Amino acid sequence: MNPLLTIEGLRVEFGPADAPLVAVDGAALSIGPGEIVGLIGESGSGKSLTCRSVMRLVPRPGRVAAGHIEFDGRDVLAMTPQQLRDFRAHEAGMIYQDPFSSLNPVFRVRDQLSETLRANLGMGKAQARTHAVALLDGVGIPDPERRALSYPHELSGGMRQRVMIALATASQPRLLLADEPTTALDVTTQAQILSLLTRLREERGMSVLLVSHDFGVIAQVCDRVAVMYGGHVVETGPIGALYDNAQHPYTHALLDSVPRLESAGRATRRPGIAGVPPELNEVLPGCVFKPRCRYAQPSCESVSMALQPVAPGHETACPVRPLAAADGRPAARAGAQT
Amino acid sequence: MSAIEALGQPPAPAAPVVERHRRASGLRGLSLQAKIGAGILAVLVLAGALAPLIAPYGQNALDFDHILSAPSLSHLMGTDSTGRDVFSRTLYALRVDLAIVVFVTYVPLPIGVLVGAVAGYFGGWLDAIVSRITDTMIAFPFMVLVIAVIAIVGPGVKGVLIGVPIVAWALYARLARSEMLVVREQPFMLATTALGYSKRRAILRHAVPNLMRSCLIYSTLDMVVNLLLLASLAYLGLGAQPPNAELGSIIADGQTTLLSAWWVATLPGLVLVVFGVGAGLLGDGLSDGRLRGGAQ
Repeated sequence: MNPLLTIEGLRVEFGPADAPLVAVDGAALSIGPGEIVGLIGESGSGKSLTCRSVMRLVPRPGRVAAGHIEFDGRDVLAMTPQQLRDFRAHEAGMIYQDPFSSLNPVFRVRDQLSETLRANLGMGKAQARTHAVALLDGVGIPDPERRALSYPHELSGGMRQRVMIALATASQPRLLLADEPTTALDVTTQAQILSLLTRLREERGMSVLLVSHDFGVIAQVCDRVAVMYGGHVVETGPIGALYDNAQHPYTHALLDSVPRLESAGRATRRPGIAGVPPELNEVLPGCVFKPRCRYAQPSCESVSMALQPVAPGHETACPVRPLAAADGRPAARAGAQT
Repeated sequence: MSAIEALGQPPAPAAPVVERHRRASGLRGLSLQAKIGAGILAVLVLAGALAPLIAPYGQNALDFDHILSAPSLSHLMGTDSTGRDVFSRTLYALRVDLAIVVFVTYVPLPIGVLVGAVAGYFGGWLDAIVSRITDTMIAFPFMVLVIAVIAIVGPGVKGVLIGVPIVAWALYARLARSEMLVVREQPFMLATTALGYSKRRAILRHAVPNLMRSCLIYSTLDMVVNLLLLASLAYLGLGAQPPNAELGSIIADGQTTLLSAWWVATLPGLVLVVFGVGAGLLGDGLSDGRLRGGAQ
């Protein structure tokens, strides 16, 4: 199956061209049709920028300095402004973290929705209004006819995020970029939004790139995961393989720091990861994770961060692979959710 | 994960209660302050608009039997040195003045908002050029420019109608630009790009409504400034030419008899004050009233 979206060697830079701050360095990712791919990493690991690059929405003064983004055989980075508008209007949608300010405060919900239906799908006024109510119904907003007349400030965070999803998916895009869509929501609402995303995927065959820093969120809905650290994708693979058989020391350490259900009630401390993520202006030779890696070796300073296959669909950027040793990882990791 | 599926159904009980009263449209949504201000302005506007119907005398009807008579039931604001009814003249003056003030306030407003919105949205060299032009316009002494225009086109209201809008758009442009700098960073503006809207649509339909609030509030203040400017020019004899009445010219006429007949200058002056208070209340009421439907 050909992937719908392929990102290769993506590099996002800030600052002067001769001494750039590199926020994303050689990220690689692919999403198949109807697949939900999680992108996980700490703050500042470049996951949001990677997501935004797909829409060509990297905030200025940042820029995509190198790399290749291909959507259904078309080069996104080479699109003309008109093609880009068309791509954004019809093929890809985006939702993001803050549902409180992502809706225009001066418009009723119905008018925001019908605006996009009229602008992007060329509907008439009356048709757009009727369809807007249907869209609200489609994202599980109760009493959609009444809600349609609300202003954004009259809705709860979860409702607003539902409206946002309705807005982003109104023109039936094939790809939805969800940049931490549940971070600002409480756990119950979070679960509802996630199941809404899964439902939309099933109903429409829509692919989703789900950016999160929460393994619990990722584990609930994703088919595959990419782990980012310091601007690099350090490991990618099917969700099960990653949980049970993490190959990169960073992935492993990250999973280890998530509280487990088995240890509930016992006063155990989860191990953290020593040190801090690299600054953008730090140029580290070899592996970026080396300063914090428990298994670091001198040779790590000269390795390449390119992804290498471990198993079909499972790739890691760690050539040393200290975890591949026979001791193995306990399979109990599957229960590890927040 | 089955628990998640169960939670996935629409949460009817968790739905927030919509605050019905905030949906109140029109005047009911305004604060008390704004209502009083709007009421005062409405009375003044009505009085001006209906001047020919409600004025008891003609604005230039001389009555030499009642020269400088004090306010009474037949002459609510007394009469001036040629026996003209000050109340009637004030009504006619209000009619002219309000029409001019509304014109010179609300014609430059959309122009300024548009220029400022575009400059603020795109930034860069366009913003630099527009900002320097507005700075120059605002730095230039307003009154001097208007008098210069009057010197060219001749005394009368034409000078005001041309001179004020030439400068006034710059104030709105500056205000709209600075608001736009805030609005364009809002996630909903990012959404307009992510949804593939044209820049024109994003600016005009999505950003500008968010800029209008502060511009409209500022315009109530601007109206007062313009009315005072108009009165000052008329007082100097550069406004409507006699015998037509303007508030400033009535006051100027009455000034000579201020000690013997205080009402000729004072009562039209009070009308100016009342207008100022009304506009001020409306502006204040709008700026902290319930109209705030924003994200705060």
